[in-house]
Amino acid sequence: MKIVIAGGATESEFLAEMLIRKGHTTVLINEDKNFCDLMASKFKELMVIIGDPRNLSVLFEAEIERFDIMISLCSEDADNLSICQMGKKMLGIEKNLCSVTNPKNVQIFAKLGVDHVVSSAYLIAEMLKNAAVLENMIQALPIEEGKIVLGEIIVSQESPAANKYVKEIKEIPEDSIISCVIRDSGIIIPKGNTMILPGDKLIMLSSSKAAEASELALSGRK
Amino acid sequence: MLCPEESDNLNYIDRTFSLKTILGIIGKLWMLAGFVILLPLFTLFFFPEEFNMANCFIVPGVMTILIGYLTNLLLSQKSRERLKKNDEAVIVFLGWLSVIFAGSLPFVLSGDYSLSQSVFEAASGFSTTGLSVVNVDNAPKIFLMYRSIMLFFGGIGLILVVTSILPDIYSMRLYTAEGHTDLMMPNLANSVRTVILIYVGYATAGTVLYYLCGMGFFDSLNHSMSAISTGGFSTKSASIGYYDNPKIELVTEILMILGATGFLVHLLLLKGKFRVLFKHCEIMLTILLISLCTPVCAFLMLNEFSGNLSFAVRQSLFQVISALTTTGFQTVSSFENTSPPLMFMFTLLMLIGGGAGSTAGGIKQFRIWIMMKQIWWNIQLKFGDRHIVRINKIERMGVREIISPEYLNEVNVFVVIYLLIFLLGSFVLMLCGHSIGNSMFEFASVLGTVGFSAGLASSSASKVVLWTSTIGMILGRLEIFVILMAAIRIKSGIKKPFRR
Amino acid sequence: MFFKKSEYIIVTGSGRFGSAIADSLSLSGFDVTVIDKDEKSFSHLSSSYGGFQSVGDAADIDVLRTAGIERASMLIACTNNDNVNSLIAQIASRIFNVKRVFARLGEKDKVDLILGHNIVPICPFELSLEDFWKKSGVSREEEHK
Repeated sequence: MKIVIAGGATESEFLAEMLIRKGHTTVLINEDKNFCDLMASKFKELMVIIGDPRNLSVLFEAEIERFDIMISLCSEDADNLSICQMGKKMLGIEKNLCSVTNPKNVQIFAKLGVDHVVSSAYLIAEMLKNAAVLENMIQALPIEEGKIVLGEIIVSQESPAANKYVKEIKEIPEDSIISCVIRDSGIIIPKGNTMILPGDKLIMLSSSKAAEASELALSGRK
Repeated sequence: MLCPEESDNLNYIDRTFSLKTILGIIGKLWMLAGFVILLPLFTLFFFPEEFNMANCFIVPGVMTILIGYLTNLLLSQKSRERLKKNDEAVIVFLGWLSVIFAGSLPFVLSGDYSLSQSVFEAASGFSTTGLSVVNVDNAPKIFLMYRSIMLFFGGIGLILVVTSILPDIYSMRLYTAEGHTDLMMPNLANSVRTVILIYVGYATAGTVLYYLCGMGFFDSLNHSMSAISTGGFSTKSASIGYYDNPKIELVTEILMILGATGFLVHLLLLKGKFRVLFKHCEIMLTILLISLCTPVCAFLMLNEFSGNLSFAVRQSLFQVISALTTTGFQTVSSFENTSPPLMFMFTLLMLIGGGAGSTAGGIKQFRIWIMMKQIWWNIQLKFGDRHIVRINKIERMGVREIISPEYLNEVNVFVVIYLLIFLLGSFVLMLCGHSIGNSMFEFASVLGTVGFSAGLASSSASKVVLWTSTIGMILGRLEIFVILMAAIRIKSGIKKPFRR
Repeated sequence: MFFKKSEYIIVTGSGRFGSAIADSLSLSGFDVTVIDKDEKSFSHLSSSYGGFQSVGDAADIDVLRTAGIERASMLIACTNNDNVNSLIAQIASRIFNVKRVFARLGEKDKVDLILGHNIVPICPFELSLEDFWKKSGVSREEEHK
């Protein structure tokens, strides 16, 4: 794939290295001369352009028309939005991704056309939100800006779900599904007639609202 | 001491007055003054026997409107001179002075009052003080109504009223110069109109309530306007004490407190945001002061009322509120023989005054609150952990507002100047032969535009006392800094008054 | 009419351009609020300004909400940063459906970003250029698109 990274510093270096190792065509656009020199000397296959990625003329010069992905990692949120939008509208770069410092912009930028918006504060908040609510979930992973939660539930002897068929467990809420059952023997993708045994680890896929209710329904713990 | 506008190397700056613009705007104030003077004439419908007094009002009223109209017409249309820096202070100061002089004419023309007395009464009216040289029980109703009207317009603010009818590009500067700080809405014209509407509403409600309590219509109207403007003129010489009616006293107390509450706080009240209202620092201070001082004053008054505790509390509550809101309604005939501790309490309350952006006077409660908090902040700073970051804040209208060191300084300087003037004025009264207690009490009443009297400023007062009081009342109403600015500006303008 | 039912306008950015617009709108009788990150910028406003001032980052959606963007009929984005103006204008138009949105853009390139979203660009340099061509009478070559 053809990927362009605009702005940033340590994060850009990390990403560039990973992408090159995977064999993608990578272009780096950055204003900092020292950083550009360093990157150019470190990674032979990396195309380094020195210039301000906020300038449309610089983007044109970089010849990144119809690249696959635009990643914008500048320090100012508004700049990242503009760069991603310029990529889409004027350079034909369909998919874009950017980082934001203001977590409120995660949902705003998504509405304004950025495909993936990443904010470390936002992610931590989502993780904490779900972790606090779901004590027994060893791992709670927010997907799709926290709207979907993937979690692990351990079923014990006393759990309401123990020794029941999946189709019998009425307490599973609407927006929840047991996507996978892990038993020491291996992985089972459950159907209605799969029996849940004590000691099973259930991988639940639920909406963030239903997550707590589904944990209660299956493990019996709040 | 170098006057800020006087340093030599700034000589190239054109200090001439934008005289035409200034007069053009003052013309508008004169039109308002004329209107205020003519307004009492409607009482002749109800008391046609006073028709012979009509000339005292018609002549000055019409004259003032005409002069004002012509001045405004001739000068402000042709003048392209923009209003120079600080000239708005000159407009406010000279405007108020000239309106007070014009307003004194009906009294002069009646023949019952000397010039000094007339100016005093007009100043007392427009500044919402309420001290009087008029023998209220014998005075014609039209004059009583006139006094209440002066209170009402003076309380709201002459510039504010003019801005609602005849705004211009300088309206915002004048609004600030008259001492109004915040706007109710992000639109000057609508803001001032809302203020007027609110006050008219309160005055109407007050009139109705008084009437329902048994007061005649004429008295209801007058007392309502007097209470809401925290003025204190009454149609009875015994003031509210005449009625000896707890319900009337309650209505008065409510109106007084409303009048002493800032315009912006009224917006909170009318929107029903009660929780925010009670967290507002000025409301908290009012409640605190009233709760503390009422029992103390009641106790001090106990002897006078032969041990009748409930009566003492009722009187005490009324007087405390009357003093704090700088209204000045009295339920005692004179404060002349009050015990020193009681006089001291009232003097203190009068100095503290009402809320900012209201019709009340005094140092204003938010300043007192900030000064008190300052003590705590200082203690925290001295004895607390040096590394903890502390931002000094006060709770104002639901917002925890930051008090910057510069703002704190402004507040402190104002309080110092206010107290200096208070001491100076009191001293002058003492030089006139009055006791220290009475002088300070009286001048605190004058400066805070309250209206309580220990007998000094009355119809028998000497010219010195009258004029000292007049000056004090104007200083109290117009926020001392504006007058200083006007004085400095006039001084520097006089050096080169007219441009070739 | 005693009360004029007034349009509520938000101006973001109290630089020379923003404060000049805010001043004239306020004098014309509109309800105006100016938002700027730096309190000192409000000194650009004239002494006759009769609207509100709000200190804050206008690109932050909560600052806009506090300033009352939900009842605004017009928003003018005129900070000195094109990208920020573009962001503010888009938030106003696409998220809050403000009826009339204006964005000051120094660079013509950014105009395409806001096209089609009910946002009207104001390009001061373009306007100055047009003014120059008109006043100088010099004929010019048409720019290649």
